[in-house]
Amino acid sequence: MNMKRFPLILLFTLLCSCGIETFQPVISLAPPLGLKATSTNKQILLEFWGLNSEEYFSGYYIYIYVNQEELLTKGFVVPDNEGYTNRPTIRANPTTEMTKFSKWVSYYTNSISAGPLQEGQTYFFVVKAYSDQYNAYGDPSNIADVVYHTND
Amino acid sequence: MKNKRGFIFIIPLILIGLISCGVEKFEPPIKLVTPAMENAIITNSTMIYLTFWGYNKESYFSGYVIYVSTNTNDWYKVLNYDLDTNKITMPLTPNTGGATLYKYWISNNNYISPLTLVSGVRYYFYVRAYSSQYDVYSYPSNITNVVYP
Repeated sequence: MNMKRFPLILLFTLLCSCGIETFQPVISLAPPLGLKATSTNKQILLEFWGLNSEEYFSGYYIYIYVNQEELLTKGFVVPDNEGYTNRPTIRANPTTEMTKFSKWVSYYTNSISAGPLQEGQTYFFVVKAYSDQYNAYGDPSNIADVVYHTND
Repeated sequence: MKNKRGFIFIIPLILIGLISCGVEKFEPPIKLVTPAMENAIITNSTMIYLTFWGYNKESYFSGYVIYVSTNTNDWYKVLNYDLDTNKITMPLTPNTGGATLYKYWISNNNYISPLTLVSGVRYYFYVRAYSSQYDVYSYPSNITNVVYP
């Protein structure tokens, strides 16, 4: 082998073994905690605690469904305040202080349409932190459920 | 002689390669999920019952340290059930089962020494996750409080 080429091959091998050719940052978003759901004022009030200091954190996606077992796989995104479901339900910035978030839910929005919440129906909710930058989600929060009553 | 010069060149190259790859200072990112205080209530008029949410699946997670105060300036560690000052309040193993509601009872003065439970006094609490492996804490949780009856 030509000795002039050897250092180049060695360097290439070294960089490959160090993983530089496949460098990926560790993406880890803390799960929100303490999710609660309350039926009140003809709506459902969701409250939870979040502390996401990750610089790539963008906000929280909230999901709703009528079946707990399928919530994590089939749950529908609760729209943000402007009615969009293709972006986080709640926008938030990274912080190092535990912060309480809340969201009022008035409609059951599935992938096709939005309809009123149904009297006597149990709704299940879960929240995940989200990063726009990496299109990555954190672990799910606890699951909260509530029976919706129009007279609460 | 030519080969010798070649090896003299290769050795610094390997060193530069390793240093540029960060191999000489590799450190895993140490970050513990911060727990969230749920509530502090009085049960049986004698005990304080604390609840908080946690989801710490980090392999280096060792448990939770609960803090107590009567003025939110001077904080003291709440002792564990063995009243062993060398242990953290709640020694635990990593939890991969999802967000969990943890409970802790403060049944008498021993747990909040040097403070004491006094009727009419408001007690404040917060909690942090802890790693004994790295001697690292999470950020503090929110604060909850209760008035002792």
